[in-house]
Amino acid sequence: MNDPVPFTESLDVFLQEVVRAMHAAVTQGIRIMDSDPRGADKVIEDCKQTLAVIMAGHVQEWIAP
Amino acid sequence: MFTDKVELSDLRQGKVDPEYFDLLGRVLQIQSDCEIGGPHLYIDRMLPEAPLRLDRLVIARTATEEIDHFRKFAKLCGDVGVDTTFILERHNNQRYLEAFRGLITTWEDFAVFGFLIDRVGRYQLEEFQNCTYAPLAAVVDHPSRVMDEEAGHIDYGTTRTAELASVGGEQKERIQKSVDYWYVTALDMFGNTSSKRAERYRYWGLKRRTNAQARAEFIAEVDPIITKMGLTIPDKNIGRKYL
Repeated sequence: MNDPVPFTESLDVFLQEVVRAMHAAVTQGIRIMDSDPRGADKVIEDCKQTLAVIMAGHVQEWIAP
Repeated sequence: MFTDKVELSDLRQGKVDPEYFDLLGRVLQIQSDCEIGGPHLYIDRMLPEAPLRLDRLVIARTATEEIDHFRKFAKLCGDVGVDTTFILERHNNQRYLEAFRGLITTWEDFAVFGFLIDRVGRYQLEEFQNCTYAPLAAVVDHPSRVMDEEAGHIDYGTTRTAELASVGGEQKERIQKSVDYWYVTALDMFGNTSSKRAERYRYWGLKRRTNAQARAEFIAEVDPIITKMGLTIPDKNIGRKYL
């Protein structure tokens, strides 16, 4: 078997934190979308930007010490 | 048939057959690719363009959940020495399965993608339930957040597809066109009926069903739903690449 990929743990922790933050943001967005539509739109825009960063996939930059 | 339960420590100690290790690495890498392939298909256009604010928020949540699924499979890969980081950024045209190549640009396609392709995704994940690689089984065995979230994506896509079909007229024609495209794509995702590799997956206990069995179960599940929506079940052979 190959050795484990060196940054497996740190990538896992990083993505877990991103997912947790985005989940919380979306939940908040759904909660406020009727009372504060502009706030909900801000959540959508923030999610869009975060997703763009994650899917660009510059992993070494995220987990650099 | 191989029925032992394999732990990561068994792999690290070289206790498993090289074929088992090769097949495990391959299937984990493909699953990682599929998990992140969805968001790459629809985020650019659907997140800003979905009809309602709630839809846009649900799309953001769906993509977040798929990233989390990618994370879990990437961890399984990394632990066995298979790097998946390149999968995050690679171009859609390089995705392992054809379903994830290209771009979703219409609300109809997004809805049907959830209805049909996420459902195939559920079938793929079910293959790993109670499989011989214990860390993989742990991700999908009940209770599983991954399975629950996938079920949510399927329900959302099915509901939106049914809504669009119920509008009738040109809207119904557009959703039928999307069903025609994704139905054939979905059937192809199960692979060749005569695949030798699929048999080896089953031999090593990494998958449960043959490609043909899984495809037949999928058809039995979705055809009545399509009919109930008032849509036409597409021809099962036209446009197929993997029979």
